[in-house]
Amino acid sequence: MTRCFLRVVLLFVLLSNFGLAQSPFDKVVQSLLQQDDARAVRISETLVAENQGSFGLFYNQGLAYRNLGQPARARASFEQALQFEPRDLSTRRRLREVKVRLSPEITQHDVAATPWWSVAEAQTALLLAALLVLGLGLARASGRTISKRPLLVAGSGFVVLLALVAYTNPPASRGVLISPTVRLLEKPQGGDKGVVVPEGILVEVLGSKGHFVEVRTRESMRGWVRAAEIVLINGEGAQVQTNTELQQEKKQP
Amino acid sequence: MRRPILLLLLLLLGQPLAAQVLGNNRVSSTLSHDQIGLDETATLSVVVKGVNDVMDVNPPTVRPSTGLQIVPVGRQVSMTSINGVTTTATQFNFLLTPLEKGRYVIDPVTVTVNGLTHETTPHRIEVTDIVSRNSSNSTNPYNPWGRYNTTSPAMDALDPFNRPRGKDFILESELEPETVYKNQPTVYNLRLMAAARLMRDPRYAPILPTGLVSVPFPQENSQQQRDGRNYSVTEARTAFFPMTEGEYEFPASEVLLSAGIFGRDQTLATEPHVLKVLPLPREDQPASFTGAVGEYFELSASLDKTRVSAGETVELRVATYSEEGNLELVPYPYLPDWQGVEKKQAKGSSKVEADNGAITSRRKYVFRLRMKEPGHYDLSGITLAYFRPSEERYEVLRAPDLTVEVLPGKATQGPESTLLEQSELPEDESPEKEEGSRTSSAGRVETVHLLSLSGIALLGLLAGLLKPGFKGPKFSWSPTHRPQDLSGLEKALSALAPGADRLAREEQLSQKGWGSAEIMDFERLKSAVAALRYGDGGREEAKVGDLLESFQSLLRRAEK
Repeated sequence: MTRCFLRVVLLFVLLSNFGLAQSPFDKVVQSLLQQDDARAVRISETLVAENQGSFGLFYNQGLAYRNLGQPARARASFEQALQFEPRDLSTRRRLREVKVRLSPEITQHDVAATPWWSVAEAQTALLLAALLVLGLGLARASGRTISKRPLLVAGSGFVVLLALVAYTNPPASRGVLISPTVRLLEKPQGGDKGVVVPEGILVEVLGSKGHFVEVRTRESMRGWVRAAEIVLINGEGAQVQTNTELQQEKKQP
Repeated sequence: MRRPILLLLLLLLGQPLAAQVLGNNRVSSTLSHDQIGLDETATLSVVVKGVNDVMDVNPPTVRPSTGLQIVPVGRQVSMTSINGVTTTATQFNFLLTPLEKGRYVIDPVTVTVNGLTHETTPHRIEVTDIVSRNSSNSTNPYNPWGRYNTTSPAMDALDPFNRPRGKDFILESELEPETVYKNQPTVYNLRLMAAARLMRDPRYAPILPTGLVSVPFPQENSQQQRDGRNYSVTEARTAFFPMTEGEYEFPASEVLLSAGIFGRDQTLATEPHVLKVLPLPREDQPASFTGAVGEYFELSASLDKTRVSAGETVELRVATYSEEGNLELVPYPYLPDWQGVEKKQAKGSSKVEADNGAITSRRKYVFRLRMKEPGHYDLSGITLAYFRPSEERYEVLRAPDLTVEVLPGKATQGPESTLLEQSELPEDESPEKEEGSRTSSAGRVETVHLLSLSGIALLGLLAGLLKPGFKGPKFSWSPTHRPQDLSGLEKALSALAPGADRLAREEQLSQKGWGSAEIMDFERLKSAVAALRYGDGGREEAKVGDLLESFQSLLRRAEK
């Protein structure tokens, strides 16, 4: 009887603990509320390394980095948050703050930023517009009494939409340079020759070799930077390639 | 009585003479090279003597204006004392980077000193093709051998007497240590030993590997004996702090020397080095560790006020000092989460120095604390954990405990921060409590997608705009186009038999092989179309369809 009672009590305790257990994300939020930004960064980096990135996680990571006085890293985190919620005004505002802190002219050096719409939205809007033009055209060709005006209006609308999407279309892979002394090296190897580029700028990522990443700036300057000097903002998954991963990659043949 | 008069006379005579000399030589300029390759740089130095308060010197203009870039690269102030007479000089350096081949004229530099305008002489420089002296031979304004001793003996090659011992010039480099932990300094030492005379200053491009923070030591000059010869030794040392683990390549350093009576150039090069950077051990790493690496650290903390009203801000200053460490790489010391204390890091100050063979750094961290509730606050546990590479272990420093007395005050409810603090606080501090989307949605719309959708739209436009009947006769009836309305039908009938009267049309249709029955039907159809076109039009819509069908069937019959 006593043993049974103890089991029930143990089960109850275990269940209650399970219910009260904090998720790592909650720990990040709590750390930020307690203004322990360093802890928030530590936990969020672990979660990102475990491929558990989410909008909230990157947003909070950005806040923590910003509070720690690391605007370039904060920018990278906010940019990654925007990959999940491109129309989040709060993230856009925070991003603007850290960009101003980095340099008021930083936008002049950035490649195309994250647009306000998602890929699916842009594709759907373009598809609908194209189908509308096609439908009107075919209907007119098949003898329906449709005047030229709606067809031309639909066609113009499609062209405007296409131009807007093409103009704001970001590169497939981008990254934020987080080192204050980064140079665009000519070759993927150590060296001291290359143009110094400002910290925190958004660059296009062209490829990687070993622990070097090839990037291109808005001014079309190409070069190699160390992977540790850049935080990648991938279109898919929005993961950060950590130093540990890079080391592992390096070890692999 | 005679002495003062003599002195006065001397002074009166000497003053204009001195002024003249100073006036003539007060501002001068020198160009390091009159010919450089496209991959080289040159330095223009403007020296202003006698004063040290010249604010700035504008870069000179260059003709032609494109092709040669001139940027200021700092200034040097020097003070020389000879026989008790002290001379001050300020040197402004400009880096000349060629962009195109050609001959350029560098206009005089204008400097205003004490209201008088001085001009330097113009210079000419020729930019040639890329000089293929190995990989790197660019000159640099930060020449560590700018004041090189040129009183050494002549070179071996030009010496008629064969020197049996040692080389004239030796260039050596050392990287010590070659394996370090992250944030641990390594010192790169480049040593030039010269036992012969140099015609001009050596040209040298310092290595600047990326991913490392560098702190240069002051240049050191000394004398050394080796292989029985006396050498003038110049050492340029730089401390490098690697920011991430991995391997860093230090390329070969090269120095271009110009020696001998004909100033013949020769390039000396060192061996490249590889620096291996180890990650900091995870074992026994204190929770309060924030990245400090070095041999010796000091930590102290102080408050600007120890008694404040609730809601008022207290400034906590944490001062740190390090030897063989770089505190600029340590973002903050560890501060515990004190109950009821809001803390925010503000801008502090830092300084890293490398001198006398040692690297020291100081950093002052500033935090703004705010306690909303009155009471006695114990601010203990401020620590700085650091990794000591020589011992390969972590050590923890703890600052003395601090206390703050918070009195009940008008500021209990919060928004009473100072203006300074408010300007530093961001607009929104609240973190995102919901994880939100876990799937990336923004990104690039593929070009293939854009092109294919453009193709669809273009197809629609073409189909719509090339509609039959859209452009006059081109779109009217033809053997391949069917008439779609009454007008089209009328045109189609006219196209088949354009004759003005019935007889003429019969003739035309007969020539096409039509039978009499088809011709009769044709005329009937034409009459019906005319009646419908010029009639009342009451049942027009219904009839047009019938007539179009009749026309098609008539055509089919005629074709048969």
